Amino acid sequence: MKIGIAEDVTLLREGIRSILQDAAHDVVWTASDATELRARFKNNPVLEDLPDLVIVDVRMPPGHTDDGLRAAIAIRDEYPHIGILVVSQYLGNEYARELLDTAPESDGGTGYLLKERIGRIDDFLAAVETVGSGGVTIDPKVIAHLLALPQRAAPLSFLTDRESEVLHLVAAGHTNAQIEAVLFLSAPTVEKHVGSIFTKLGLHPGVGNRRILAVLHYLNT
Amino acid sequence: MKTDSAFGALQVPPWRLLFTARLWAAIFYLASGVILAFPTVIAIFTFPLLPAWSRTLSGIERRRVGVLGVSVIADPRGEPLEWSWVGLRTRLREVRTWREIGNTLVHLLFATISSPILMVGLTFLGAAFAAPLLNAFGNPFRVGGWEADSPLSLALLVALAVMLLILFGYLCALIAGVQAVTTRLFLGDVPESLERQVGLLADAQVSLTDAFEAERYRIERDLHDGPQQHLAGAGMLIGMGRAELEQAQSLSGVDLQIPLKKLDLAQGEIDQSLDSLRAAVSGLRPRLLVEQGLGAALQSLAASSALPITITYDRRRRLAFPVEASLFSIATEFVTNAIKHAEATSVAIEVGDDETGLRYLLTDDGHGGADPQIGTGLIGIQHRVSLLNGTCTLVSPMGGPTALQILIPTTSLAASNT
Repeated sequence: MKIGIAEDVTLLREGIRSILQDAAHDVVWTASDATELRARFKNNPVLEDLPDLVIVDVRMPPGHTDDGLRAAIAIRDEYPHIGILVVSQYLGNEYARELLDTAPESDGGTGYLLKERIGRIDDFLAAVETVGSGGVTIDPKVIAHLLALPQRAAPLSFLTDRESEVLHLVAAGHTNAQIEAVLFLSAPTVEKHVGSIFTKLGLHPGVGNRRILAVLHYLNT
Repeated sequence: MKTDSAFGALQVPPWRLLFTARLWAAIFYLASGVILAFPTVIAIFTFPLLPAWSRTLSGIERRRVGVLGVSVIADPRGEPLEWSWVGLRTRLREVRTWREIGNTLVHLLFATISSPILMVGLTFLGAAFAAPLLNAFGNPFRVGGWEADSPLSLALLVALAVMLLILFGYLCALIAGVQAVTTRLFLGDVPESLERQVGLLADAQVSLTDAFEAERYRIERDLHDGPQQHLAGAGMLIGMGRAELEQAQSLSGVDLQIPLKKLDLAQGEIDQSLDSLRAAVSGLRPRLLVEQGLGAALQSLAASSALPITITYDRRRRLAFPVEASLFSIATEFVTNAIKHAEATSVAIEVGDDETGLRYLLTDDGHGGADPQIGTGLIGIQHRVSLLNGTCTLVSPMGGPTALQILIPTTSLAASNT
């Protein structure tokens, strides 16, 4: 995959580049602030020069607030087929929610990871794959935080422990196959749990991204 | 027995007056006042000493009022006494000093009034009561041409003396009461100054909260730029090292399970420290307020609150940050009160515009009875609103519900462009 990296901290930027290159990805460019990032997409670059996926830090110069996120959303507006994988320090779901709002209209995948996830190389590369192929993935810690909020507690108490585990994984963006692998369950069992979850929460079980987005939308409101 | 009335002695019926302590207390009060007048006169003639003497006298006066059975006057600002030139000019500029000097002069006036009354009264009455004894010694009590030399006239005289004593007692009590009241007026706390103190307290609380928020924001930024970055970087390096070790293991066949396990544990430790760093700074999110404004911050408050909070946010444009920060602080204070004091089960917050400015309505369904006079939380809210030149109406009948309506005029909003 062709990947662009936008990250102001040199250690992290070069570390990500190294991890991706070792996994046979092609890092086409890096940017160390939001201005540089936007510049990469100005002047209508040729399609071959565009990356398949951009990894962006939420917080970058010059503003040091949410410049990276703003730039990513602007890029998505113009090039909806490019995957966006956002990395962040923040557990709170405000940024994630804003990012996910852009997901339904985009062909490109959407991902939100905490920075420490980069150190778990297998997980990180799996997330890159998911987003690169158009899927949705959310850091499990963010999901856990979301599910632990007091207002969520009541309706989710109707789920069994097993269903709760499956919900975590669905919300993090895993496919049924991945859930089977993580929880050591058979395909029919996973399908049964997923169906039960959606029924209990009153959600419409779409497929692929729509499913994840439905769950996340439910959890976010 | 302490009552609030300095005129307590006047309420006692005549036949009991002579037997109550209050009467004798009143007489003592006036007499001691006369005695204190002497140094006062001296101080007036050496008038540079007057402010210092006033301070001393006022201290004594505040306590002397207690003799009459009323509560001692509290000193508005208990400052130690200084008999020095230094600071004289500053003290002369204080209102307090002039009130004390005023009281000293009035005290002198009362002493001037009471001394002749006391002297005449005590002399006459003393002689009248001593009349029977005097008669026995051959010096009958004489007024004009009339002598008290017969038992009948003696009895009449004593009876007269008793009545006069009662009258005298009432008179003394009256003068003493008036003096006590004027002393309290001069030396006690004035209602406005109390209100001003409460205002100052509310002001201090508001600036303290603001300073705390600014500090928290700074801490969060520092933590982001510092420890969190480095920890994430360390985690990443460990992960990369781990991958390289695994590769080396498979290439060379050497068993590296033990160091690999340690690296896993190290990553676990890093995860934990990042979690606890986040927990330490979490809670209120000023960052969200700065970056996305009041609407988003209110939503976040609702999302992480134990109570359901309904937010209706009708504005599009953002406000100046201090205004948004104040409004957000009001919301958090209101929600805290709703949970802690009103035992509410839900809260609703509405933010909208009307012709005059911003309309901010907060309601809860608790048991009401909120009173700004009790507890500085509501006073803090009122103070914030008045700093914004707004108006604040609280409706909180016993039994609930509680509604707080705040209107901020457009001129205070200074909307910024986003």
